[in-house]
Amino acid sequence: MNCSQIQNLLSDYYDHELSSDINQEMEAHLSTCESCTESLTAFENLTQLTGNLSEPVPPANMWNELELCLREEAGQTDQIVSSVVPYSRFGLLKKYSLLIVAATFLFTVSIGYLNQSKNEHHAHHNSSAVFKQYLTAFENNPDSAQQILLKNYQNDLVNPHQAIKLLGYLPAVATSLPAGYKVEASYVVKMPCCTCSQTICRRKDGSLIVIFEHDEKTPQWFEGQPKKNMICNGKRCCLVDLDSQMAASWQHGKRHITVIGINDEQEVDKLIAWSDQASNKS
Amino acid sequence: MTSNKVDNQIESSKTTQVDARLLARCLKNDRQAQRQLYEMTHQAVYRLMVRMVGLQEASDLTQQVYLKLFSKLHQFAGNSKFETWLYRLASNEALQYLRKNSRKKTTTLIEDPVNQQQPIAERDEQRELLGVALDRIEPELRSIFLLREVEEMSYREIAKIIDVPEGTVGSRLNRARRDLQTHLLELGWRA
Repeated sequence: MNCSQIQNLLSDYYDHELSSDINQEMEAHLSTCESCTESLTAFENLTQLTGNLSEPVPPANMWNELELCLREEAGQTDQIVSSVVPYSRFGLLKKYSLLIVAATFLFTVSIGYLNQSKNEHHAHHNSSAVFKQYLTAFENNPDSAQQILLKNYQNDLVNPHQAIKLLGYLPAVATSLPAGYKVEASYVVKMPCCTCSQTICRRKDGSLIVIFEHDEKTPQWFEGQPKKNMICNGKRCCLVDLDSQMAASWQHGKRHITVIGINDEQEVDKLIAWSDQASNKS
Repeated sequence: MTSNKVDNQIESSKTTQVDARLLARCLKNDRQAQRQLYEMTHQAVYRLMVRMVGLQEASDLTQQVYLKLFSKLHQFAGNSKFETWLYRLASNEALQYLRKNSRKKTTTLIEDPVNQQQPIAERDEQRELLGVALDRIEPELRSIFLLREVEEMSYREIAKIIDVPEGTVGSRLNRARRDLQTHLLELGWRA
């Protein structure tokens, strides 16, 4: 057997999937061929590396959520509860997280509490829907998108330095600004997830980005949007693909920063560097 | 499907770890049995999902697999091990998700933000590199690599799961391993 033949069968050999006669031919070649032996060693190293992967721990409530899905599919879920939750192909956890609450109530407490849960569903659903509307508008006309948020949520137009009175903290945009951006307007917006600082910034080329600072770790703003997690500028960051732009979210001290309207990953790096500097100053 | 046919189909999978009687109870929508089946198998499905699509979507997709499993259990013919059938469902679900969500701008998946409590500096850098490299190879190759290296499946089982001839598995694993090695070296991996 020549090297090419050996290379073609290397995985089969490594995984003990060859017949004994071919196996012997492989061993004879490998005992004399340094190059093929190196390839085999590389496979061994990969196995060793893969063996060091940590075992992920499934969320403890996964069965409860799944059971509710099964109940709903079997038509066993309360009609009122099921009617307020839209079906989302990859949003099962989100979809049923509040259903769990509602189902628990069904078995344990009064119908009045169920109504409260129903309202929570509406708030959650509305929050996602409003933000989706906002994102769509932002893609097409960033200047007018703001009106969608302002119409839907209680808000105050503020000077970033004065936002501390409403937020209980000084937002990052008050301590410094990313280089090349200018504050257009700053709001404190009372959204269902939490009260957020929202600052609209204009780039030198006239385009806009919006910087949110918020308490909630994973607000349901991007429900159904494709997300990827990366390390950007040394920080864990969740990137969301919008049609022509991106959104990015990362931890900023005890809070989180989410930026809408980012052009590329380089801009994410730049904004994270700014966020880190602001964090050090505060 | 009649209950006799169901029993016969399941009977042929007696050698699997999952008990045929348990599957029969699941087919009758016995919730306790469904939970038992889930408890016996969900760790492996979740593990595959985490490696295939990342932590953020792994729970949702794992749940989706079990919804499909319970709704399609009557289709399980018992010609292969139950676990093989389950891995096929899981692998297809992951690949289908990745095809739908393959986007151009975001490229590198590491781990989910929910796991951010542990500082990066404390993590095993090598494992991080493998996570990045795995995300860079073709999803089909990632799937086959994980089935072999993590789930320790035989070529015959892998062939059944991904629905290819058994002889194809080795050549795809060759590609997966070499592609992974290439990406790892680019990332600065030193074996």
